This record gives sequence, structure tokens and C-alpha cells, in this order.
Amino acid sequence: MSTHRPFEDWILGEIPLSAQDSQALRLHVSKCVECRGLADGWDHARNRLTTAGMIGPSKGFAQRWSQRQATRLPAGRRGVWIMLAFYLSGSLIAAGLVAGQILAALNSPSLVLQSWIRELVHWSLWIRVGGDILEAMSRALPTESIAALWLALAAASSGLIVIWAASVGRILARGVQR
Amino acid sequence: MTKPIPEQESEWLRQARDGDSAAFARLVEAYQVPVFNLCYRMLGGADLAEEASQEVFLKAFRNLSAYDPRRPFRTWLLSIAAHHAIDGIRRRRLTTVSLEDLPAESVPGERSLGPEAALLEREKGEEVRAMLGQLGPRDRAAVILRYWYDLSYEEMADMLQTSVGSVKSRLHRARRLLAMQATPDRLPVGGGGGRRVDAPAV
Repeated sequence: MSTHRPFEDWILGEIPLSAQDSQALRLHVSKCVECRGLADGWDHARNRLTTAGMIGPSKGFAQRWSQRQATRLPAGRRGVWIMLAFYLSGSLIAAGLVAGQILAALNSPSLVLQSWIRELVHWSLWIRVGGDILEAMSRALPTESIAALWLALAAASSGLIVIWAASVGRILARGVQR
Repeated sequence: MTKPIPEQESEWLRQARDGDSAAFARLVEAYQVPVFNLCYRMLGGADLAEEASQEVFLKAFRNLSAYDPRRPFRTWLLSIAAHHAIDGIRRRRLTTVSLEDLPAESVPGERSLGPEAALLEREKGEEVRAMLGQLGPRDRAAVILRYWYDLSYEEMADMLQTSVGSVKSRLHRARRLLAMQATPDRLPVGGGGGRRVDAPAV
């Protein structure tokens, strides 16, 4: 198509041409079948686009919007109230647990310290047992299986990272649009 | 409804920002035609356009706090509509299911014409719908904003969140495709065709 330049750009560019360029374009179009087809095609398409006119909605559009808006608003508010109740109840439970610990610590600090240490030992034992089990399993498995397991873990992690990145991208894109 | 005067529009916007939905409904009344037309041209169906334009106004009302009063409200609204329609096309895969494949449906305002004029208008409308249906969502948006809203390249770039160069290249590509698809036997005889809606584009 390079032989049709700059005529193709002049036909489609919608830019005012000098008398000399207009003459050159007319001369080229009279000789070149492709450019004549392009010019005629674009004339037709532009005519359709510029004469198509605006299309409006059926009557009562604004009323329908008001009705829709009125039904959407309570649903939105209900969602906010549910979220608020959820967070409040969670915060109250957490505050109650913390308050119980603080009261117990004020009454008998040594007992609370002992119970914390006991809990710590308890959980560290469980972690150690879990570690031992995993170690025994890894010894029992053949080397190929371990490599495959690592590959599967790496693939799963990569997948999660891609999904996370895509989600962040979409959220950011929506934010920009607004 | 005709275009609101700037003071009136500012007042409605101020009231709507304070949560007055009745004030925003006046803006809906004023801008329903340009928003509906954009959605209609993008999506290719009156039902889809009704649903989309209703959602566009809801989105605009909800995000009114993000509107910068230094920018024209119309441009901001049309930007939301364009992005909403582009997202809608992508979701529904309307680019692969061509607009030409959608069933023809009556267009609001068609009944006010005589039978022959209505037929002619319908044929022209179908042709325009088929033409736009060949374009990708963003190229389609660029063509619609250019030929129905007479926006400058800068305004279009701002609305479509892209560069002026990208808008120009999109338009060039779209024009080329439309010109290539237009066959000589479909060339216009009279070249006329009135506006479907008396209301201005605002």
C-alpha cells in the first residue's frame, strides 16, 4: 500500500488540503482503482455516520432511573449495615478476650505468665511433631516425587501471584476510570 | 429536554452532590439522549442501551464526589458511558458475536415517522449498526465520539484515557476498515437522512 501514500492518508485524514494537494489527489484517484474505491467507500461510510442522528430512550427514562435509584439505595445501605454489624461484633469479641486477659493479669500476674508459657510450650511441641512427620514423609518419598512436589508448589504460587496481580490491575483500572 | 444553562446545571450538581436524587434526575433528563445514543451505538440494541445508560447514570450519581467541576459534566458523563459500554462489550463478547447477528429491534422514535421514511430510516440504521459492529470496542467508541459528538482529539483522548496519537491512529484504522467494507452498490443516492431525535445532543 506504500505506493498509495500520501493519498490514502489524505482520503481518510479529514484534513484540509492545499489546492496543489487536492489537484494531485484528484489526478491520482482518477487513475488508481484502489484509491478510488477507498474514497468512494469512505464517502459512503462518512455520509451514513454523519446523517445517522441521535437516538434517545423511550419516554419516562428519568422516572425509570429514579425508581431504580430508589430500589438500589436501600440495598446499598443494608450492605453497609451488615458490614458494620460484622466488624462491630468481631471487635467486641476481641475486646472481651483482651479485657479478660488484662483483668487476669492484674489479679495474678504470675499465674497469667505461667499459663502463657504453658501455651507457648504446648504449641512449640505441636509444631515440632508436625515438622518430624513432614521430615519422615519426605524421607519415605522418592527424589522424583519431591521434585514434582516442589514444581507443583512453585506453579501454584505463580498462579496465585498472577491472579493477585490481575485482580489488583482490574481494581486499579476501575479506579482510574472513575 | 434542552441543554441546561450552566448556572442551572451547577446548581443541580451541587444539590446532587449533597445527596438530592431529584436534582440528579433533572440532569438525567437533560443528558439522557447523548448517553443513551452512545450506549445504543456501542452496544447495538435499544434494550441493552436502556440497561447500560440507566447503570451509567447510577454510577455517575454514586461517584459524583469524584467529578471535577472544572471539567464539563457532559464529557465526564460520556466518559463513564464509553467505559461502561466497552466493559459491557468485552463481558458479553459482542465483538465476536457481531452486532449484525443481533436481532433487529424497533428504535425509540421510529413510530413518529411515516411507513416509507421509517423503512428507509430502519435500513440506514441497520447499515450503521453493521458498520460499527465491524470495529473493536475502543475503535468504535472513537468513531462514535467523533461523528455523533463532534469532540476534539484532545477531548476524546481525555475521555478514553489515551494519547491524541492513539486516538488518531484508531480513527484512521476504523475509517479505513469502514471504507473498505462499503461496496459501490451501496453508495447513497440522495445522501440525506434526518435526525431521529429532535432534542439536541446537549
